[in-house]
Amino acid sequence: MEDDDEALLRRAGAGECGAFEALVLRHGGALRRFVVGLVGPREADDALQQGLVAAFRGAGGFRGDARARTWLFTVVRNAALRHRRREARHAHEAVPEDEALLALGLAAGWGASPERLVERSQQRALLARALGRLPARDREVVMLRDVEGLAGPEAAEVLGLAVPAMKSRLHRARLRLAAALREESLDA
Amino acid sequence: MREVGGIRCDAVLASLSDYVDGDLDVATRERIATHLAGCPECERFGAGFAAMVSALGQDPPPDLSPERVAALAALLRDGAG
Repeated sequence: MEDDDEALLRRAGAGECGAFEALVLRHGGALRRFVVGLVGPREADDALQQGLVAAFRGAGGFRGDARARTWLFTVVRNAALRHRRREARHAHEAVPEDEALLALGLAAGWGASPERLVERSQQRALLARALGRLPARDREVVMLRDVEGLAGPEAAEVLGLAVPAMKSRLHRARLRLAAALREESLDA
Repeated sequence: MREVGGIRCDAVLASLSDYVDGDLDVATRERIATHLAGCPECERFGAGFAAMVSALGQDPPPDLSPERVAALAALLRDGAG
């Protein structure tokens, strides 16, 4: 029988490298994609490695309150943010938390004459470029919820937010993504 | 901006994520569905918004390369020794 993630993480916490490697084989691709979104492709492998080493060393502290996947995303995110601060190439981005929804909606094409958000969304390269245009804080919530498919409470846990705050951030981030998708297709 | 189905366009805009995520109570969900059926602007935007959210989750992550997994495994074994 295949071990579930939580059992593997507990075994890793007892020092079993093989159990941790099995977890990395399961979730490493998703974790790497998330880290690329946080620190960019050039730094991603270093940041991911630091995150996974920290996860292996910290696995003994896993209490099973969250799912193992949520815990891994949290530890790897913290390592990536530390890495980003060390690299200090990313200027602090001010993202207005209270920007009016109406203004965000209008920028996203809400209420405008015929829009083609459906067609644009099907163009993977366009969607990836639009995601790349978002402020990092918006990008990470969209990646956790929509790209990696974490449930709302899991994404909130990884981000250290209460669920309503995560949902508010997610909604604004999605509207900004729709606006970026619109701008990308105008630029193209 | 108008009221259709007992709810205004701006309230529909504010609830779109909860709507596509299935996070609304039945009564609110039905009000929004009625609004969308009777308001072409919101219906069009809502369909595009839902399509965008759905498209984001359609690609599985690429696997880590075997070389990367092997390098990491070596690092963990060294560190754990």
